[in-house]
Amino acid sequence: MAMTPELDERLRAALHAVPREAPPASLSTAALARARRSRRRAVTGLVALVAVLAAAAVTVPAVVLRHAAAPQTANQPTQPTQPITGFMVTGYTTVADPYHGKIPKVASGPVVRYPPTVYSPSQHRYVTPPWRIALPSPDGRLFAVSNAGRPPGSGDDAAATEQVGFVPADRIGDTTAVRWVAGVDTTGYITWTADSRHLVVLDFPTRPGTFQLVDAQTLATRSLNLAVDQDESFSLGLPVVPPEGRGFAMNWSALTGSGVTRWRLQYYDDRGQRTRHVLIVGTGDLPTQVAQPFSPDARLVAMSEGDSTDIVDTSSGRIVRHGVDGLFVGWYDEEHFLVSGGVSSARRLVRLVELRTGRTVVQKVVAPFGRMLTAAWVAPVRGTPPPGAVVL
Amino acid sequence: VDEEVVVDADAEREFRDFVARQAGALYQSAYLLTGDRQHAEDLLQSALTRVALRWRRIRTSPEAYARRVLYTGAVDRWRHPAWRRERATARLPEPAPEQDPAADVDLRLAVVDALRRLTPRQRAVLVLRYLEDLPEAEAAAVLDVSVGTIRSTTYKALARLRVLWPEIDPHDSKEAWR
Repeated sequence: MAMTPELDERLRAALHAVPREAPPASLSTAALARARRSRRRAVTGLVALVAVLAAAAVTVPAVVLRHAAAPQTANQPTQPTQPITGFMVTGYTTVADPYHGKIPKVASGPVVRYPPTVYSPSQHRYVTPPWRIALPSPDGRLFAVSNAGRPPGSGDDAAATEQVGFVPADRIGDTTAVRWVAGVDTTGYITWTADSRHLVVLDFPTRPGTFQLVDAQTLATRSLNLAVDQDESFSLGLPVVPPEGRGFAMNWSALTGSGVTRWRLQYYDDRGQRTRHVLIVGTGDLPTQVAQPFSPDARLVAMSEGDSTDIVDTSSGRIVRHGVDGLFVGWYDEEHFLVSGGVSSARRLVRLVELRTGRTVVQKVVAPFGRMLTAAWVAPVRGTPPPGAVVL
Repeated sequence: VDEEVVVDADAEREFRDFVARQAGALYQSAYLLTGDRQHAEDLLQSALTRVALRWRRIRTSPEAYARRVLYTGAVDRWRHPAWRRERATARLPEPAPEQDPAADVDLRLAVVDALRRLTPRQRAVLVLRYLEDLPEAEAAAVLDVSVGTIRSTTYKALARLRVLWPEIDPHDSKEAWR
């Protein structure tokens, strides 16, 4: 078992292949807050000990203890990073349930065209904003809004493009709070990157592999051109950003002789050049309307076909969980994921499903009576859940 | 008692500058030490809290102290039952079904998966020696153990790594990867 220079170099290369990503920007603020709390507890404890020892002889002025436990000053942080305690439903779309107990089929497609309902942190309830599209960011802090697309039932499926803009979650509904992006129109095909920093917009008129990437803070845009072979059959979808690092992934499809769809999950680097790919057979498409189809460690990816969700291993392409009833909503952790609805009676629900067994661990009603979910989005909750929110 | 905590504006600015400079590297180490980004954030935040508490004493050379509390924290915290939830699985990442022109993603997943199955101390020693490129003596100083312990831990960790991840060994792997 001798150590060899080759092994040295391979291990070194493997460790250095893990990208050096920036941790959350709030880290220093949170560390300072914890340090101050820690020191304050120590000071409080010391004062309390002195008080107990001296209690027999003198009365310790209460002001000493009050001073020691004084609240944080104004320049101190109030929102340190806390552990994730659950996931809240930040928004959802519904349609009227016309089936009355029958098993409905929901066509796949741009579900964002259905009117959205979103959680308002300022009103502590779910509200209907004045836009046809209101897509929450994965961290739940921003919404991408637009009036693109046709209302359901208009009979006209042609794309209607409109501007896209951003509005903070706590001002959702306030039309004066929108920061509109100049020069970028959308037909409704938009998705967030995993870090909530950028919005990916399908370029219009559609040219395979061409997208606009919009910075949600600066509103700066840049074109994203993914390398595409013209002879490939193209799945009209959006690229998603796997959480493993920078780059994109998009699905390509080709029909086999038996009619079974054969997917190629293609990965790209930041410049749009192809890197690796995975072949997947017999499952649905990559759901690009959800916040993140990839699991937190990017080892698994959700694939959806109508009301059915498959979970696929991104290394081998093997389906590890097949045919879970319901539209995929998001990942809870590496062992659990969320789906909305399933069979008719459950179409108002969001369910937390255990990957290993396919068992529903917990479920919560989201849509009102008489409506059924067509999409739902979730964001992590740190600390105490906001009042009025549906939390799993 | 309060004097050690970062309180004045200059000290706070120094601390924040230090975090801005070093957080990326420390976060990368924390991720490899824990195998999980959420745990890595928690570990790094705990380490930075300790750095902030000692800032006045270490402000001239905070890097060494930060590295020490990060690594010892990674070894110590996994002794606590709440953190002992390693997510080892029965399967190793399989090679991509077709020739992969850029295997970086596979490589990352494979190394993180293999590291997860080592003991916290083995993991810490490998990251110190092969990511941070520290000599044995410096790695020993960071973990507060002897050089002999670093050597024996490295030997055992590499032996275990070869079993968990045969492709790492050039003499065992059937196909070379880059």
